[in-house]
Amino acid sequence: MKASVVLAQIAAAFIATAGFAESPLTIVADEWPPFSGEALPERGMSVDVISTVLAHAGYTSDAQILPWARIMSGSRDGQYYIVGSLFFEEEIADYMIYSDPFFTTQVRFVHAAGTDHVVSSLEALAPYSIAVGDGFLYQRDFDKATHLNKVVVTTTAQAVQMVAFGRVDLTLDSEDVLRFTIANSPSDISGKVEIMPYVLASHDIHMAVRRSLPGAAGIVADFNAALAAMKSDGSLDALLAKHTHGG
Amino acid sequence: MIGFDRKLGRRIVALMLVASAVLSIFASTVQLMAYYQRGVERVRGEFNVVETSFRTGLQNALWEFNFAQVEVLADGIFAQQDISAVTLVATTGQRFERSQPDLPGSMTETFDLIYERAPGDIVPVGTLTVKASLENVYSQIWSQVMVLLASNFGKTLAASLVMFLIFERMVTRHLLSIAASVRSGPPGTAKGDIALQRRNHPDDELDQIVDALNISRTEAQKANAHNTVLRKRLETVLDTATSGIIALNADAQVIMVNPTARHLLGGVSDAVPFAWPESIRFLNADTLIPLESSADPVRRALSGHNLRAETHLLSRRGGGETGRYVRVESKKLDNLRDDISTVMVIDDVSVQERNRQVVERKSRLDALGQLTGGIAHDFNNLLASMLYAVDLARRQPDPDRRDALLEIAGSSIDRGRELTSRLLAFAKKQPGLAGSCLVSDVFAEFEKLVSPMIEASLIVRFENEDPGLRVYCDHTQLETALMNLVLNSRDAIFRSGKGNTITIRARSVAVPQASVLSAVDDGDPSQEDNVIPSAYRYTQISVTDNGPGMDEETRVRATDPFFTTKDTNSGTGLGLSIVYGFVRQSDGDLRIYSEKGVGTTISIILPRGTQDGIREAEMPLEIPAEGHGQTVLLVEDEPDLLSVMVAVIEDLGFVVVQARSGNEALDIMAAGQHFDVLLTDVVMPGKTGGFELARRMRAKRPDLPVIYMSGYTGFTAQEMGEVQAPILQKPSPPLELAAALNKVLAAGDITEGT
Repeated sequence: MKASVVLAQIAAAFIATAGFAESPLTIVADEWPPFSGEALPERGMSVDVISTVLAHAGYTSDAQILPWARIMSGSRDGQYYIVGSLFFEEEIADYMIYSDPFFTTQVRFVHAAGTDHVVSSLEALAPYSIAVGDGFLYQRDFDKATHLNKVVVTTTAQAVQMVAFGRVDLTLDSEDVLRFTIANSPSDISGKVEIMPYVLASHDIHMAVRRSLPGAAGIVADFNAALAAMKSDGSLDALLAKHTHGG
Repeated sequence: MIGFDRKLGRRIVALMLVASAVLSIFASTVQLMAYYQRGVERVRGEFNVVETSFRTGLQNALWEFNFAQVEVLADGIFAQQDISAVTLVATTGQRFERSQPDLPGSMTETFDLIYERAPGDIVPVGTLTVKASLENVYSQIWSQVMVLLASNFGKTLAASLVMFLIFERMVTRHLLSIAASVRSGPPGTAKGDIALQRRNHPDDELDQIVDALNISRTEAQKANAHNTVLRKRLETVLDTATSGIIALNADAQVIMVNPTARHLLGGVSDAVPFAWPESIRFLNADTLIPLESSADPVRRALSGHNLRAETHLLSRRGGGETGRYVRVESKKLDNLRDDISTVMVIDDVSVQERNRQVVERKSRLDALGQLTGGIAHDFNNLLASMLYAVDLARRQPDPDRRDALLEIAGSSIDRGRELTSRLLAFAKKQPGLAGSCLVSDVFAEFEKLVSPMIEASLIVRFENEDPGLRVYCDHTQLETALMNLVLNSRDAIFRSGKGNTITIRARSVAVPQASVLSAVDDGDPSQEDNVIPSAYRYTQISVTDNGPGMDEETRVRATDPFFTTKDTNSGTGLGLSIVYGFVRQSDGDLRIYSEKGVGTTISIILPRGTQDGIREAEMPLEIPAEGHGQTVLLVEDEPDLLSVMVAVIEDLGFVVVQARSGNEALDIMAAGQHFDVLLTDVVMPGKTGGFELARRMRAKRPDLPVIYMSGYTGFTAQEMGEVQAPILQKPSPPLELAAALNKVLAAGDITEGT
């Protein structure tokens, strides 16, 4: 799973202050339901929250759903300026400014219903085969653990189905992603898998703005101010609830 | 264009086109088959691509539920040229389908997809069914069909037209020129060799045809000229032949006739073939009654008989003429190369026949004259005895004595009347009254007739080996014949002063006709092919005297008319020729055997009769008892007879050592040559005759079996001398020869055994 923060991206051609209000900020995010996705309502929770907060802060925005690797390389070499749905990463923080988090999600394991797998620590994972997304970042120690039986797949949806059909023992992801995936699986697996109680990690979700964007710090500050206002008046929770429970 | 009316050229072009069409279709079919095979290989290759490039990816994607990847791979499979449908069913229930509804899948390949979780731990993950269509292959083939056919056929059409023109130029016009030349100059007329109108003569097939035709025409001209010569020769021969020659086909139509025959047939001038003229018919030469159809010579000749010197009266109905006496001979032809069925040769013998009739009457009178002279003395005696008896009776007072004398006179009268009636019967001609009669009766009658005519100094003997033996002929003529023979013998004895005995002997002969009769049938296929072992039996009556015998010249001419050895006043020279005519008319034969200084035997061989008064039918032949390789020393001075007898005796199973004279036989014996029996002629040139030879051989081999043979049968036991042995009468039939040889050899065995 990727650590993501919401970044507002502003194209270089629209750097002039006079033009800010008129030129929309382009938010890029990857296909990561329920946080972001082309087919999701309002293109997902993160894009909805970021564009709503930016609108509250006085910015217009649009969004593109792109592959994760393209987002990473594009934001690194200055192609994209605002990235949504980011966990906090030191490496990314070097060239992007993270906003305040607007959501927190917990990384948990899934196993097939009726199995008696026990997960209470990293060490306890040793007997199990675990489906992991290719290049996904779950939790530092877990990601670096080479002794575990990791089966690399492309998407969490695959991983959950592999668990449901007994092809792997476990998989893991953001609890919200897991719920969304189970609910929207092409095969009916809702009764076949269970989300386990052990929490491997807890991640905040941010927006991030590339530092090279003129006025990046201002945009982040405006965002944070508008976010704080929405948190305090309860409108943020209502917005989140629409995505976490409505789907 | 020139020459499209040429049938040969048209047919060649047509045949080339047909052949080209067939070959084009064949060649195109082969090429299209190759296209098809290639297409099918391509489709299989696409299945292989699925196997090698997509299968593993699909298995892994299904295992990982990477359906995006599955979709991509399915698209990849479906994107191949000939794949018409892809159906992937995951074991977890997902189904992925691609299809082109308008393309029927004619080839299907199914892949069972699995995932090997660990070595040996295989989990099925789905089934992939791929259908491929051959539509692309077919459409490619169709696009080629017309191209191939059109190009192949068109090429040949062009080549055929060129060939046609070449053929016209090089062959057809010359063939037509040859045909025109042949038509204009049939062989045998204008000379003029055929020549082709072309610049050079490469000695090719056309030149060879022309050469062959020219040679053939020349040969035909020669052959025609030769045939013309032959035909003219044949015509000349036929035109000048004094015999009438007529060839008939199986339908009794005259298909060839010479002028003489036309004349005999009443001057018929119809072109051949024409039917036998109805007005021309054959009559019995004696009775002048038309022959019944079963006896008609033409009918008999056509039904397969070979007519031999038959004499008939040929008459033209309503012609007003008396007709002609003709002698008819015919030869039936088998193995025909044309439709000639029989050839008849008709000789006009009217003059001869009338002469013969005159001579016969004259001869009868002549014999009667001799008879009269011979019997005058007897008759005078009868008259004298009557005269004396009547004279004495007239003067005899004693009635008993008178009655006795009258009785004697009456008896003499009876004898005279009997004698007279015989003379009358002899003089009376009773032609054609053939009948069957016992030889013993004939002999008895003849003895009464001949005894008064023969001087008392001559001994006349009658020998008949079988009292039941019958003869079938005209008995009056037989008596005349015997009378002629006996009187001939008597004359010869008296004229030479040698001899005193005349023996008249009868015996049965049962041999095939060809052996008994003169060899008129030699070479007749119908006789040669006759394998039925049956034959007529004959009765042989021979008259033998021990008179002077004849020399060779006399013997050969004996039967010639008007040939005589008698004084011109005492004989007509017709006796033997009349006898010969009689026996031939009676289907018999005459044989003369004479040894100068020994005597003469003349045999007449006549058909056997039966009790029913008709001729005896053919009888099955007895099979001669064969020899067992015993050696026969055969001594015979007549070379032809010797070679025939060698063949006959060898055929009977004996080995033959031959000698041509008695001295040669003695030399053979002296040389140590072994033989079991001596078979020798009696009278032979040189000092050693048969009897002497037997005597000298018996002196050395006392038990040597001996058989004599001679045509002359009048030898006495005294003449035979020391070695008494059976005499076979030549020619001896194989049956008798075998029986005699076996008999003496068996007797010799017994002698040797005891």
